[in-house]
Order: sequence, then structure tokens, then C-alpha cells
Amino acid sequence: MPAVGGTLVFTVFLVVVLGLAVQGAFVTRVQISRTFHRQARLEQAQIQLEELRRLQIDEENAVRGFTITRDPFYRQQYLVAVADFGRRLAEIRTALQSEHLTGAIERLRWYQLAQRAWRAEVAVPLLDYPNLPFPETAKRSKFYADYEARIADEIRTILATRSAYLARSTQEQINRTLYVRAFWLLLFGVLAILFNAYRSRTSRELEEERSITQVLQRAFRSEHVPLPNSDVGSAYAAASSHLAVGGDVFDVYRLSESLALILIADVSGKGVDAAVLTAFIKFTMRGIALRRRDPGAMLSEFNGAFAYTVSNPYLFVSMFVGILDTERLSLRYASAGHDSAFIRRADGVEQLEVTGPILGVMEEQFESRVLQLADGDVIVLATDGLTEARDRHGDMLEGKGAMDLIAQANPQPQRLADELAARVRAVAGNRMRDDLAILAIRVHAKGTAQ
Amino acid sequence: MRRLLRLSVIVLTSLALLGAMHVGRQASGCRLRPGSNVMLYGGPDDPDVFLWDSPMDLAAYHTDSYDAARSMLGHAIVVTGGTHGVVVMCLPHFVHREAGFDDAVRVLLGDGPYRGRVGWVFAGDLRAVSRP
Repeated sequence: MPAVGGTLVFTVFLVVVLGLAVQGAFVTRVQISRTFHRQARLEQAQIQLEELRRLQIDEENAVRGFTITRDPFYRQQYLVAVADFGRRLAEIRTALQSEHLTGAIERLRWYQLAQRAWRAEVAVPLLDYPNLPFPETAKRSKFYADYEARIADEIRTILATRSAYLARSTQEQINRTLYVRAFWLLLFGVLAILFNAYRSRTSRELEEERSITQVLQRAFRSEHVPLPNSDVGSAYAAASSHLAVGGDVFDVYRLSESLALILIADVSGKGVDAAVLTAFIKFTMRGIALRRRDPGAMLSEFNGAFAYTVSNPYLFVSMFVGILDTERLSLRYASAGHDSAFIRRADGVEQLEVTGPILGVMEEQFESRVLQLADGDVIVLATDGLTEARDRHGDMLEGKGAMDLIAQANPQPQRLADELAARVRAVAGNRMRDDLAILAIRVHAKGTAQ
Repeated sequence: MRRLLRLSVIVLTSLALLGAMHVGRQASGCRLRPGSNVMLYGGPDDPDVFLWDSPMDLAAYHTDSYDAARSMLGHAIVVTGGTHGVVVMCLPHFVHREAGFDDAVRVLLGDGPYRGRVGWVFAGDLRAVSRP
């Protein structure tokens, strides 16, 4: 679980870092776009200012032309230039206002006033009285022209200064963005490397544990001992998750010519600890079985030994133990909270009842049951990986589902075990949450062994 | 020791002379020398040029406020662009304009309605011309 939690935290952190890098890029893009828009507006204002200067010169030239030629065409030209001048002035003012260039707006007002004064004192008198003494009018005309040129220069300077400021600010924004993005990407890269190292280490550790566990399981799982008048089959399906590998164990141990110990158990924990405990179960139960023949008494004795040996209060064991008499075709059994035990008979499948609580909880007496078997009956023992297998909707197979699968399976024990394992894997969609151990034993009346 | 002292004096004196020559060249940096033939020309937008009575009027016109500058117009005449003249005197870097300091030049007009009149203009409003 800590590995899963760490992975989740790392993943979330990586996503956040990547998100910040991407979001920062978008914000900067908007800012830079806005700055470019402002620069374009300033350039437009500069162009319009030059246009205004041209219109002012057009007005002066029209008046000059009229005073020399008296041609009404020049008067008309003058009026056209005056109209355009007003419109152009309004456009420049709007651009300057949008940039809050109050100094430039004020100068533009002076420019407008000077042009009005020129019209009133120079243009209109000359258009009305072309014979006016020219030297004085020319002096005024020159004065206003100089003044307006100076004001226009000042406005140009203000626009150029603001434009340079925006260019510098854009460059700074781009630089800042590059640095910030480089930082986030560097952080992302470092985190990704750390994440990868962390995952590799965790995977390696899990793989090592799984490998050790599997070696232990293989070592502790019983080889099939030939039993008279019986066929034995078994299957083991490991869980999909590395974390879930562990505590399933079964055993078939011949006690005499006709008696055999059959056992299946499931340890609550997982991993190496559980796998080691399965060895304890297997060999302790064999030892007890050599002295006792009553499964209930065997479980009681094991329960005492378990409490004495295992100090971990969170480890429990469910166990089914039986003494199979292959001569008389009977099964004497006891079940410590292990409900995945079934008998397949000619007329159907029945689930064997639990005869006591799980082991490792408290001192308890366990009852034994005796079951008479018929020729061809199959004892099917499994761990909770069978009844607790979940389909893709999360629904468990449970006892009823398990009995249906057993009823449909081939009666030959090994094929039955293999089929059950395959069906459970199919039901779980190849995503088994728990290990599954299956032990199947078919008994035959003496002389009918196949 | 004495030889070293003498050498130091020579080097320092040489450096001081070079510096003084450089400063002098800057101070007497008029573009147009007295006697140069010139044409008065304000520029393509406004070729006419103000001819001022004194260099102070010329300088003040370009540094004073709108009203002050306007009140000074009685000390100037407008000379049509293209009028020729001769440089009489030059005051280097006398007037501060937008582009920097400019020389004030005293000019004797050689043609036009104000022929024979003398006044002050910016060096920037003069074009040197070769005249026989």
C-alpha cells in the first residue's frame, strides 16, 4: 500500500507540474499577444501622426496655391484637407487614450489649437483677402508651422518611447517565460527520473518478494502422492497483483495403506510471511495427523500450536482437514471457517459445512463430520479465491456460483481443477485479486479404479 | 633621476598640448566659416527660414514657451527658402534644438526682397553652395 500511495502522490505531483508548465505558457501567450496588439496600435498612431502632418502641409500648400493663382480649386483642396485633418486627429486621440498617454494627448490638443490659430490668423484671411500684406502673415504661418513641427516631434518621441518600452517588456516576458518553463520542465524531468527510479525500486522489491514467495510455495505445495482407489488433481492460479501472492496451501499425505490426510488452508496475510506460515501448517498438520485420526481434534491441537508459535495477532487461518479412507470410501473432516469445500456426486454438488471458527482467534473445540462417499464422487477443496472471485461488475461468485462451475466441469480430477482455475480466471477477466488453490480427489469403489 | 624627471615633463606636456588641441577643435567647430556662400533652406516641408535680429532671439525662440516665442516675432523676418547669402560670423553650439546643439550663424542676404539685410539663422537652415 505505501508503494501505491507513493506512486499516486508522485503521479499527481508530476501532473500538477506539467499542468503548471502548460498553463504558464498559455498565460504568457495571452500577455504577449496583448503586448503585440498594443504595439500595433502605437505604430498605427505613428502612421496617423505622419498623415496628420501631411494634411497640415496640404492645407498650407492649398492656401499658398490660392494666394498665387486665385484658383478656386485650391480653396476646395484646403477644405478637403481641413475635413480630413479633423477625422485623423480624432483617430490619433483614440489611440493615445487607449494607451493612457496623457502627455501626448495634451500635446495633440496644443497641436489642434495651433492649427486652428493658423487657420484663423493665416489661412482664412488669405483665402478671403489674397492681397493682404504677406510678410506679417508669412511670419505667423512660419511660427505656427515651427510650433506644430516641434509638438509633432514631441508626440513622436512619446510614441517611440512607449513602443520601445513595450518591445523591451515583450522581450522580458519572453525571457521570463523561457526561464519559468525551463524551470518547470527541469523539475518535471527530475521528478520523472525520481519517479521512475522509485517505481523501478518498488517493482524490483515486489518482484523479489514474489519470486521468493513462489519458490516457497512451490517448495511447500505437495507432490501428488498416489492413493489407492483415488485420482488426485490440483491447480494453482496466482493473483494478478504482486501484493496478493501468498498464503494458500494444500496437502495430500498418505497416513497408512488406506488412510490419507487431505488438507487445504488459506492464511489471512500475504507475501513471504504468509508463504512461510504455509510450511508451518503443512508440516505441523502432518505431524498431528500421525498421532490423531479425528480432524476436529487435529484442528484444536493445531489452533493451540498456532497461537503459541505465531505472535502476529493479525494472522488467521481458515482450514479444511479430512481423513480419507480409500478402503471404506468415507471422509471424516472438520472445517475451521473454510467454506470452499464441495462434494460432487452423481446427483449434484453439495457444499460441506463449516464446523468451527477460523484458527488463530481463540481456543475452540472443532467438531468432525463423517461423510460416506460413493464410487465416482469427487471431493473438491479450494481456497477463497474460488468463492470470492469477482466478475467485471464486482459481483462475487460465492458458493452457488462455485457449485455451478464444479457441476459443469469434467469429472476427471486434474481436468476439473484445471477447468475451475481457467473459469475463475475468465470470470475475473484475468485480473485475479487473490491466489487460488484447488485440490480435487475422485474416489472409486475397490476394483474400479480408472 | 634628472633624466627621468625631464622625460616625464616632456610626456606630460605633450599630453596636455594634445588635449588642449582637441578641446580647441571642439570649441571652434563651426561647420560654416565666415565668407562661405550659403543658401537658406528650412527643409522640404517648410522651406522658409526665420532671420533673427540677434543670436539670443534665435536661441530663445526655440527654447521659450508658445506665448513667449510668439511675442518675439517682431525681431524676425521670414526669408523665402532658396535665398542666397554669405556667412559673416558663426557661434558654435549656440542653440539647443531637439537633435542637439546647433551653430548660430550670422548671414548677409545676397538676393530676394531682403537683399543686403543681415541676421541670425541656424546652421541647420543653411546649405553651403559654391558661387563664383
